[in-house]
This record gives sequence, C-alpha cells and structure tokens, in this order.
Amino acid sequence: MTTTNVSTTAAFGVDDLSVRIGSAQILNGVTWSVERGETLGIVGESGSGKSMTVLSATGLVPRPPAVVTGRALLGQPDGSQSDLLTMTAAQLRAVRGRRLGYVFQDPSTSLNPLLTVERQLTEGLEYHLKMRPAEASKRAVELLEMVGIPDPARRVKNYPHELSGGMRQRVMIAIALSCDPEVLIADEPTTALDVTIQAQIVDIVRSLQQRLGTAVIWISHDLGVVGGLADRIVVLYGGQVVEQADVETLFEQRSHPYTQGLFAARPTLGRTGNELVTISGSPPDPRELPPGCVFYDRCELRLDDRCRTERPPLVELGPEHWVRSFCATPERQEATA
Amino acid sequence: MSEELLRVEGLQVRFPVRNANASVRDLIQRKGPALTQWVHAVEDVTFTVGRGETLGLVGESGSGKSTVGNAIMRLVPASAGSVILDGENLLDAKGEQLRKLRRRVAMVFQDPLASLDPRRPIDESIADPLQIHGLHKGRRSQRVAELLTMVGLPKRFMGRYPHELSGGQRQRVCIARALACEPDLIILDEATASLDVSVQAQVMNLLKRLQRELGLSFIFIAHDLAVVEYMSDRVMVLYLGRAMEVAGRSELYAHPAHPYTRALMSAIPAEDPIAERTRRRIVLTGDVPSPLNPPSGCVFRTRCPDAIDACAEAIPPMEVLGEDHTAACIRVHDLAATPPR
Amino acid sequence: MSAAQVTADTAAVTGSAPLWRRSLKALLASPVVWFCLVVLGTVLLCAVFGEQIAPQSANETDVSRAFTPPGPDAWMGTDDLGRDVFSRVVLSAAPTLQVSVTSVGIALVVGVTLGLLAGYYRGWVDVVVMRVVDVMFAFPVMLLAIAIVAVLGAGLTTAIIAIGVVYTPIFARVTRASVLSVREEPFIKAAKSLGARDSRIIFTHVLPNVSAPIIVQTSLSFAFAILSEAALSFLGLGVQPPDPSWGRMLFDAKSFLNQGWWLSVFPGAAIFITVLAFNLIGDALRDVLDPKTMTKERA
Repeated sequence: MTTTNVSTTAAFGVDDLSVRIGSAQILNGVTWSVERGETLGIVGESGSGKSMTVLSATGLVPRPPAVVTGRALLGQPDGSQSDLLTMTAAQLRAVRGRRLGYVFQDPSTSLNPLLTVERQLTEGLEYHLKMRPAEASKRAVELLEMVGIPDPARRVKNYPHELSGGMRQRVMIAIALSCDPEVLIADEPTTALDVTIQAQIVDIVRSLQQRLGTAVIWISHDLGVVGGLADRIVVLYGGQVVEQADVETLFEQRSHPYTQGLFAARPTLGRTGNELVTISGSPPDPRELPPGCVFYDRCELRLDDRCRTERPPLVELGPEHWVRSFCATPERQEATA
Repeated sequence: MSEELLRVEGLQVRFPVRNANASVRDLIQRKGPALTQWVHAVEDVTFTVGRGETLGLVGESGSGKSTVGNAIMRLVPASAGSVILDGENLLDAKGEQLRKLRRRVAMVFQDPLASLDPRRPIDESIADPLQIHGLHKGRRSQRVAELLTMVGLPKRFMGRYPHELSGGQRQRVCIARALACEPDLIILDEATASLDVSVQAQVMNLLKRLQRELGLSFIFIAHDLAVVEYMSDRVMVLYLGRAMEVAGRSELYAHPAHPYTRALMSAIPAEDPIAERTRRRIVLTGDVPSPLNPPSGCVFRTRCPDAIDACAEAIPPMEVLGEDHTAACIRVHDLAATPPR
Repeated sequence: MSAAQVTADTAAVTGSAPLWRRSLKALLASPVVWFCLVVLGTVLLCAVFGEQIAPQSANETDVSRAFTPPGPDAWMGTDDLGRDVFSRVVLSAAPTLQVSVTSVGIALVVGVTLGLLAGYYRGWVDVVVMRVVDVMFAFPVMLLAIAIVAVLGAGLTTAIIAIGVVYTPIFARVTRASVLSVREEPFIKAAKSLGARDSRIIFTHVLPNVSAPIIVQTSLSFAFAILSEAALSFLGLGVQPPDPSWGRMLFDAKSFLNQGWWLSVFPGAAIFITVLAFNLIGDALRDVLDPKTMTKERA
C-alpha cells in the first residue's frame, strides 16, 4: 500500500488535497482524517500549509486564484460522506458554523468589536438552528457557562474589548460549539495566549470533547501542546504530509528526519548546557519546491541522487505509522529511537 | 557571580492614562474618580547583571518584562529608581554622555521584519548605529561584512531588502545591527518568540556563541520558560510589574519556591505526551488583574492557590531562601515543605 | 570571496535592485502610464519650446481673420480678434505649468514639513497645526483662493501663492496621517534604541516611509492646481489679458459661444487631457508604491 485513505467512518477528512496559487504549490496530495470523538493534531512551521489544509478544505480559500483538487469529506448523519469541494456556496454556508466550528489564532480580531458577545453567540443559533431570539439568548448564557466564564449572565452583555484575551478565546470556543458541530477546527488557538491561560483553554477543549464527542482538528506549531492533546498527529512540511502516526508512536519512534529535528530543536524544561540541535536553513519557498524530497536541502541524512531527484512516497513503517522519506528505514529509526 | 556590569535598583515605571469613567465636570467639582489613572507597569524591580552573564526575565503579558527593557534603554521614562551601568546612572545621563552610554547597550526586538526599515537595504540598517555614533568611518562596508559573517549570513546579502529574507535571516540582521557598536549588554526582547522552532534553535545557538566569543551580557526577556532556561544563567520571574522570584537557573528550575513560579512551570506541557495526560497540574484560575488597580498586598494573591488573609495586608518582602535565591512570598517557608508540582 | 565575485552574486539575485528602480519598472509596464507620459511630455515641450512651435505670437491680432473656423490656415481657428487659437493654446502651457508646479511645490514643502512635525512630535505642535488645517479646510477652496487674490491683487504670482496656500493643508494632513502609523513601527523604536537623534529618525526613517502617499498626492494636486489656475483665470483673477492661459481663454470665449465653438473647445480639451494624465499617473503611482505589494513578495 502506498497511500493512506480517508476511512468511511471519518467525521471529516481530506483525500489527496492539493492547492496551487499562481506558481506556488501550497499543498501537495495531503490526506488525513479524524474520527468522531478523536483529536487530530496538525503540526508544521510557517509555510508548511497547516492552516491552508483546513481553510481550503472548507471553502475558505477563494477559488480562483487558488486551484484546489482532491476531496474534502464530511461525514453525514446517515453515515454517508459528502465532498465539500463540490458544494455550492449556499450549501457550504449551511455546513460552516453548523457542522464545522472554527476557532482561530487571534481572539481579538476574530470577534466583531461593535457587537456584544450575546449578538455574536446568537447569530449562529438563529441562522442555523432557527431559534427564536429569547431562546437563543438563554442558550448563549449556557454556552458561556460551559466554557467556564464566571458570571455568564453579565458577561454576555459585554463587548469584546471588555474581556481579557483568555475570555475572548473562550467566547470563540463557545461560538464554535454553539450549534453542536461534529467537527471543531482549532487553528493555533492558544498561540496568542499566555501559558497559564493556554493551559486553561486546553483543559476546556479536552473536557468538552469528552462530553460532546466532537472531532477536533488542532493545528499548531508547538509539538508540546499538540502532544498533550491529540490522539494522532500529522506533521506537514513543504505542503506535504511527511509523517503521520498516533501520538505515542510519533513521540517514541519519530522517523522522518524533519520530525526528529523538530523534536531536537525544541527547548524543553531541563535541557540546558549543550547546544540545541538545529535544522539548518529555512523552509522551502512554495514557488520553488525541490524536485525530489521537499526536505532535501536541510536534511542531514540525505542520500545523494535519489533524495534529490525522486519524490519519496508515503510509506507505512508500522501500523498506522506513515513516513515520507527514503532515509527513514526501520533500521535507521531504531538507531534514533 | 562575575564582575557586575549593570545594576537596576528600585525601578518603577508608571504611565498616565485618561480615566474613561471620569468627566471634567467631576474634576471641577472635586468629586468622582480622578481624571488620570496610573498604569503600574513596573514596581520596585531590582536586579544585577554580571559581565558575560545572561539574566532571564520571564513573565506573562502584563508582567512588565518588556517595560523593564524599554526603561533601561530609556524608550519609556522611568518614574523612579536607577539603572547603573559601570558606575554611571543611565537614567540621569543627558546629551553626549547618554549617547555614549547608549552605544554600550543594544536591543533586539520580537518582530525582525517590523524592526527593520522596509525601505532600506539591510546593510544600511546594520551600518545605522555606526553612522549615528560616527564609528568606523571610511571602512563601514568592511565592518558590515564582518558583522554579517559573525551572525552567519553571506556577504552577498548586502543590498537586499528585509522582505527578501526569511524570518531567521532577518533576526540575524537585527543581531548584527545590535553588535555593530560592540556593546557590553544586549537586551533581547522576545527575540526568538516569532521564529519557527527549527529557526529559533539556530538563533539561540548563535546568541550563545556570540556571548562566548565576545563576552557579552544579555538580558533575555521571554514568556517561554523552556527558552529562558536554555539561555539564562540567572532568572527573574515577574508578575504584574513586580519581581516574584529571583534565582540561579538550575536552582530556580529545580526548586521553584514562589507559588506563581510553580504554576508557570506546571502550565508547560511535558515532553512525554503520556506523562502529560496523567500528571497533576496547577491550573491558575482567572486572569491577570488590571495594572491600573493592582491588588493590595501581594499582587498574585487573587489567583494564588495558596493565598491566605495575611497576603492582602502588606507587599511581601523578598525572602532569602539561599545564596542568590529570593522569593516575594510570606508563605514561602511553609510551602517549601510541600513538594513542587 | 573576492570583491568581484560578491558583486556578481548580488547581481544574480533577482529583485535586488533598489526599490525605486523596481517601482519605476512596474510603472513603465503600464500602457496607460505611457499615454500619460506622452501627454505630459507634449505639454512640457510646448511650455519650453512654445515660441518655436507656435506659428504665430500669442497676441498677433488680425481682425480681418476673426472667427475663422478650424482649417488648414489655422488648425484650431481664430478668435474674435483674429488671434490664432492653436498658438495661444501652445503658449498657454508655460504659465499653466509654472503656476501648477510652483504652487504645488510650495504646498508640498510647507505641508509635508508641518505634517512631519505634527505627526512625529504630537502634543501642542500637533494641536496647533491641525486646528489651523481644520479651519482652512472649512473654507471652500475657491473662496479661499479668491480671498487671497483679493488681498494681494490679481496676477500670476498671486495665483501661485493662493493655490499653494489652498493645497498646503491637504499635504499636511496626508503626511501626518502616514507619520502617525509609521512612528509606531518597531523600526522607529529600534532606531531610538541605537541613540539616533530625532532629525535623523525623521529624515532617514519616517520620510522615506511616508513618501508613497505624498508622491501620489503631488501628482493629483498638479491636476487640481491646473483646474484652480483655470478657474482663477476664468474669473479674471489669474493670468491677466492679453497674455493667454487655458482658463483665461475659456473666460474670453464665454461671450462667443454661438459664434465659434472652437474658442472654448480647444483650451477646454487641453485642460481636460492634462488633468486626466496627472490623475491617471497618480492612480498608477498609488498601485506601484503600495507597500503591501512590496512586502507581500516573500511573506
């Protein structure tokens, strides 16, 4: 087998998703899926395409100029799966907010500064669930309570600038979950927040997921945050999946040279004195991707001609452990594990 | 500790802001809230930095860590206190004396793209401090080339514009600019925070190498405890403008004494995801209080899991816990009995 | 690496040319810009070599040829005194350009200086400058110009001063608005941290970074200045008879609209095309100089 597939029970998944904007190949044949109640972590540096993978899959990237190919499958209540990329704009609107909830990085710009928290919470309830205003207002207070905002009946009348960053991000989560979506897409939701607040947000999402059974896609540049939260992790680099595994396997048998470098380069508590291992150079320009392995320029394990000229396929190293590299043979992996 | 280079004593920074709830009429009638309120950005912060040493300043947003750096550079005015560099008070210096002192302290900021003039090629930006201080006249381009080599950039980058470089390369340019006048001290204000993990490691290694080779002192300001641990010799933890705990690096990370330091360390995800899921964490409730109106007594007491009534009464003094380890907490000796985490 | 190699390497890197050269290249890629340059080049030629181009002098009257329609003898016909309209249109280019360039020059220097000081220092400087600007904005442009001419007396120099004064507030405001955003940029803070003096920060960091909107405003102001000069002359307050200017010619033609359409159409067309060229070039500059298109290249 040379490729992964979206399972038929998946709540959401992308299959062979590629995105090209002008001369830039932003994504190249990306496949991943998330089951109900599962958390998928998508990890990558800036320019890896980690945000693009969900934005393009849910129709939030304007086409044209973007050219999106592949499939983005959303599980339907009847067990079938429908492709978001073939939906009309009206069909997509009915899905976004209702069946897919979003939380973005910066809570201060994702909320409308001129509307109260209540208005922003009730919008989706009234539009998607056809609730009456009084009913929606009551639900808004319940939602704020659910995300742990103290004194929700008062807070619901506040404007975004009257709330702290952590509170705003809770409001964003409440909005995202307001219509009880099957899938929650969290794009770097804690990056703009302080560590103590980040810990609160992670706890809230984790406990809500256990209660509601939502599938969560958590996009982050920080392996540490994702490791504590995700069941499975997809590592993106240069618009491709370079490694994919369940979280224990990935942490114990990291196999792609890039994943290994990412771990080694990350300062963690208790690691001092020695120089950090670095990955030399910087991520590739999506307009000038190398013809072979996308990590070739920065790889220390590279084999000469094959890595430079031939693009490695995604290979299953172990059960549900996929790696895209000629250098990540099981022997090598044991040597580094 | 090595020979002392910088001593900051009792530093206080307060900004006036217009009180949105006060009206001019109230003011005339001498009732209601005052027209201006004061943001207590930094209160009574004292520390020293030795030659060749790195002091880490760590804290969350609103802790005043960046304001300390800005006040040392006189980018914001200090309300009280002194900043003594080799016997001379930076806060009193004027005119030529100030310009001379400024040459000895440089700063690197968080966002390298924004801190370089977008309309000037990077070699001009690096030569900027040389021009300002009239140094290396006649051989400035050689000096710029030297500096580029020092920070690991090829000389052919001369003439390029900031937007043509990657994030890590831009930060190297900013470091080269900071090095241009051969300073004794560089203030690094979240200098690695906006970089990708793989690039961040390159820049941190570069900084350590430069420190070794040039005998530089650093004040390393960051919110990331792991990054601070990697970079620093001594660490000061700030919360709401006040110092909570100061200690040598290994002492602080092995025996965090202040409840805030403990909570901060506990909030960092563990290396191992399986351990991460099962470990007990101190999750702080609530948010950082407003610096307009900081809590009485200990500023951390409103979020502290170990707070008692006495905490509200007086600002806790720095309790000495060992050689070069102090913490501002009245319960620190009781709490030492309970294990951290 | 030898010096020669370094230069070769730098040259090989695409897009390492100075920014202004790149902007110019982008500007010249547009056919609209070429049209504008041809129009403005022609106007400039007329202004400089008017005497040589014009078949007759501006005030050569021949009443026997009065109201000759456009034809082989007179391309644009003749006026009520038999003066050649084509010659007068050509010879009008010089005073028109003189008025617009000088007045915009005054407005540019004074306005940008005030805007830089107000925006950079804020405080009382800002309050004073901006209140004066607000007051000047409250007057209708022509009314203000007429008032100035009324005080100083009609004539070319007065027209220049009046138009310059009228357009100064626009430059002050455009400059100040840009300075306000640029002064908060971290690179200004970085320059301060290096010990740079205010004058250095203003001239090497602030001014180049606010130049784009100022350049655009300059080109648009040329258009407005030409219109203002025409309007003042039309009201009899600018160029004085018998000297020609496009506005003055329109003023003279208004009595003869029934006798000769060409008297008003040709100077009107000259104003129209010149103003259009300045406006189009202003828009093109705005697109080319937009810093967003510059920094987006490798985001």
